[in-house]
Amino acid sequence: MTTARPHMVSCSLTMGIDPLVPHVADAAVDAAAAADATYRLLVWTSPSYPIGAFSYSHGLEWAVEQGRVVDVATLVDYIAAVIERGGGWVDGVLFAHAYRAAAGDDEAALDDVAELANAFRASSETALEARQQGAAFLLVTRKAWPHPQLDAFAQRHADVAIAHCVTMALACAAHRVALHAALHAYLHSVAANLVSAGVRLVPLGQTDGQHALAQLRGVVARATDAALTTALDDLGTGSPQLELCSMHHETQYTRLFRS
Amino acid sequence: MILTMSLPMLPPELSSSPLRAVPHQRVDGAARLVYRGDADGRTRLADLYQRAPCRVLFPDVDAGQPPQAVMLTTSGGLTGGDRLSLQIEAGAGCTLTATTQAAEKLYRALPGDAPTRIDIGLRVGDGAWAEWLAQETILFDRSQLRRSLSADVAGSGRLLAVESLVFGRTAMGERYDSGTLHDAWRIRCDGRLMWADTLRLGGDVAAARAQPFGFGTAHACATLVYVGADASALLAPLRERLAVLGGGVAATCIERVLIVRVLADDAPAMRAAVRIAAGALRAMAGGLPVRLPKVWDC
Repeated sequence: MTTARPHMVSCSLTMGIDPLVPHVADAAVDAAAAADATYRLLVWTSPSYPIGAFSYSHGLEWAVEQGRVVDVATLVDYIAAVIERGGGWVDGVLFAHAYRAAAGDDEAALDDVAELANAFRASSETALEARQQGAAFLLVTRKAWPHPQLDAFAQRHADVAIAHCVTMALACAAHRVALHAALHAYLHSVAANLVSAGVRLVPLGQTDGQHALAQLRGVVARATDAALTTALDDLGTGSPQLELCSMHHETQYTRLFRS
Repeated sequence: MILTMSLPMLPPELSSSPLRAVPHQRVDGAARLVYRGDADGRTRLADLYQRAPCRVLFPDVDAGQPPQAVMLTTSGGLTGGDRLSLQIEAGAGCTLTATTQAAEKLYRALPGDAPTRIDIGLRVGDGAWAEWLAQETILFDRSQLRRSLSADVAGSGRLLAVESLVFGRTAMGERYDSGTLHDAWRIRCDGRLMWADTLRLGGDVAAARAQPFGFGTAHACATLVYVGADASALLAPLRERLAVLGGGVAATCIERVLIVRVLADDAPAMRAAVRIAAGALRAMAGGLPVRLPKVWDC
């Protein structure tokens, strides 16, 4: 729909008013680019994108084991804590800074964010979660959606897997996906992945999972807006019980998830 | 004259109170210690700088304990706008323990005050063993703290660092209901950032702590970090020692950085957990006595 309308407008106007032609042609190009960007974003945040997201619960498996997450309300509590005050929040802020550095073609700034993103991890399992998905994302995106900036980044960090929030932000900046939409979609995918984990772990019905995701709509939107205006020096977390869940998960006897 | 001229610039709630009309005198303290190994391999203090209210004491230590530096703040507490900077360097092959004489108290800041700043820098040389075993920081209501602990560990150097916070001493009826807290760790090995962490609370900190998966019933917390090539090998035996402490204590290891988190209902429970975790690590990793420096028993 968004692609069709400007195209029709350009047909009707190119006949008479010359000064408008370049403008209208630009609009058509912009619309096509926007559609391309939307398509990429949908692909990269889809659960079918092969980065292994399904195998990580970000400590949720321990919270379920302990009886702390037992229903939709407590699942929403857990995920909101991750996104507002925990690892999801950290990743959201880092995403915004990585995107801006990449969009400005500032390799040094991007590499600094990448180093911080790899270090800003509460436990070995959440570090694995971030780095393994980040490496998988970079690998598959370089093949399916190649871009010289992705290749240059991969060459600079050949010996180390960089966190998912950074590699996806880089891809979004390189392929001209707008920052706000990209970050919003990224944080939604974090929430959706944890809902999916919760549905399997508690267990909950599929409709319950969608209730949870609907309830998290405001959390994701607010965190997106807040992350865009947070300086790296002011980045921090306030949910130590999430960190304890993730640490205790490392010694959980029976586990479905890698984090 | 100066006083009356400054009055209109103060917030109304302050200018109405004659007792608070004069802004606090701010402190800007610093201490810098540099240790080097002498020709016989013994750790020697090579450089010392101290500026009030920072003072450093060098007590005699029991056999088996490393040379010790005890930091104290002679102002008896810190408030808004105060600054402290502590820089400790353990040269190659040195062994040393740095600690604090008592709990640090963070008092109420006045509206408009800058946060209290505490910056701790630790440099650990190749083959050195350094400990930063700070006693707890007590946060009073309306305190504002911005603290950073940055460490750089070179080569085969090892570091054991502890920092802890008490959200008001509940047994004394103290409450920490509002304020700001920004408590950052940055651990580097040979210049590369290995671990970063920041605890951040602001505004209604009682409500923030009570949020789901926040602090629960805890009024005290601690973070212990051990850096060394043997960190991952120490994780399992350390967990055995921590098992008695329950679900409020857990450990993890990311590459060569071992991290212990403690959430406890009150300061004594938190200190007990820190003693066990730090004692176990200094014994297992450093071959040192389990017992922490004597100031911890005062």
